Amino acid sequence: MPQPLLYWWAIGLALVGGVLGTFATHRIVSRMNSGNHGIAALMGFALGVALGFFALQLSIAWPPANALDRFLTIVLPATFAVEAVATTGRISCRGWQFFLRAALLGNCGWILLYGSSYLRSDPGGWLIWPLMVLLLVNAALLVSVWLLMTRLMDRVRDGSIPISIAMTTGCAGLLVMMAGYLKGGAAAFPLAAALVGVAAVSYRLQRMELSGLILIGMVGLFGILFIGRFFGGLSSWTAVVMFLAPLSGWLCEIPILRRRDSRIRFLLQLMFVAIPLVVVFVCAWIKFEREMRPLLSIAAHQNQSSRNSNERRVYCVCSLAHQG
Amino acid sequence: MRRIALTFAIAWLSFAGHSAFAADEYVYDSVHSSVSFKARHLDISWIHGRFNQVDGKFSLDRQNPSKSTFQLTVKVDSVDTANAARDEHLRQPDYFDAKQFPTIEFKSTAVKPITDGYEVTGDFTMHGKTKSITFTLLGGKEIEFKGVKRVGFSTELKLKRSDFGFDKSAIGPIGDEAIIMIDCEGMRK
Repeated sequence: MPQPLLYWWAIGLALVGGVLGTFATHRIVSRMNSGNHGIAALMGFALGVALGFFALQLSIAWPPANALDRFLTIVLPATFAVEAVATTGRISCRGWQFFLRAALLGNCGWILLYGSSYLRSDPGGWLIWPLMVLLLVNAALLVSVWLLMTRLMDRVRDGSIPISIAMTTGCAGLLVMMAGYLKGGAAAFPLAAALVGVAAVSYRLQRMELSGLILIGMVGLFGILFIGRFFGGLSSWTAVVMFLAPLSGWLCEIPILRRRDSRIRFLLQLMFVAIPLVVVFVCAWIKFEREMRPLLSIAAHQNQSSRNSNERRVYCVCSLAHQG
Repeated sequence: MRRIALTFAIAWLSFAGHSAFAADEYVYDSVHSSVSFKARHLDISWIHGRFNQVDGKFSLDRQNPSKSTFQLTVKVDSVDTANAARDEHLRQPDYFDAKQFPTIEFKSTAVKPITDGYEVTGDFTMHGKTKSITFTLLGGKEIEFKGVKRVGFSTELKLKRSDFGFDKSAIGPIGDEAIIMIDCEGMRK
């Protein structure tokens, strides 16, 4: 059963962890005069996420037993390590930095599907060629969206990008939960909250580099949606729309909006990303009410006919959007 | 020459004797068998379900019952509780995680004859965890019908989901303990 109080506790802890971790690391880096403030964002995010998962009491198996275990114990730590190596300048060549990140992004899908029936040769598994094409497409999508978001971050240079990724990740978590996978959806909340915590601190600390957060934020979002699609009940179009939603922030780069005040652009950025999230969320909510309501033993005392007609109107809008 | 012939005769008789008393192999007849389960809902009623795709085989050695073997494989995807939304929910990682653990399997390791059946011990694998379980299998009477020899067994076993790695937070309205009822028929020609 959903445990809202536990989720709020995890969100709060992840937020506080993100803020305090970022502040503390930033102070240490400043005292060392290293000039490398990007690591502060990463450390703050890592601390926030760790505290959030601890609060959620997720029982993670080692060796990993399922996709969520692989995501939390392999994919996320590997992403953090790759970004930390790139951010701290251990590898100075930008080509090698890009290669490391792309190699990680390209293998996320394989890692998450490892040991599942998708990769088995038995009749229930997928044929090898469609699976390879699907994983290549997923990898290409992940790399492309990451590059576009990094490019957008270079142009915007404020906390709106991590916050838009956080909004999308949080919404993705809710959708995965409504599709029937509670634990997988709940794992999104600490990721989202830690991103918000670090972004909030970056507003105060002007010199802080946030580009490292983009990779880890996009991997977090991708992981939640991938697991929700392949192991939960999330539909393909929902997963794709959610994954592409942060790209709506590019609308703020059209000339007429680019000249606006930075605060208005900040709000517009979040609003543009929120629009597809709201549409997808409403459609998912209607489906959830229709299919899961009887299972949750919620009695329908309300005026069923008026609710049905409202649902039909909104459902038509969602269907048109789906077909579009 | 006589010794060779005698040795050969003894060897042949031993082999023939062994063949005559070898275990009978039976194939699971899915049409006349069922694997169903029930679990408590809100501790006031039972939710029933079944698995529609089951496969297996067993061998019965009536001369030496301890050499009998039983094997069953259940396709988790085939779970059926007469509610499509619930079935889809049960296939997800909070419950059976059908994409990660597509089968439930049982393989016997020891069989002991008892009155009206067998006491079977074996490895039960579900949700990636294997545990040794023992249950009573009632039946074993063989009949011939339309040229096919058939034998039937029944059993009921109780298992806790939490013992097999199911998510503990998903154990709430649906009870931890599930009762599994297996009624199977095997056939051989």
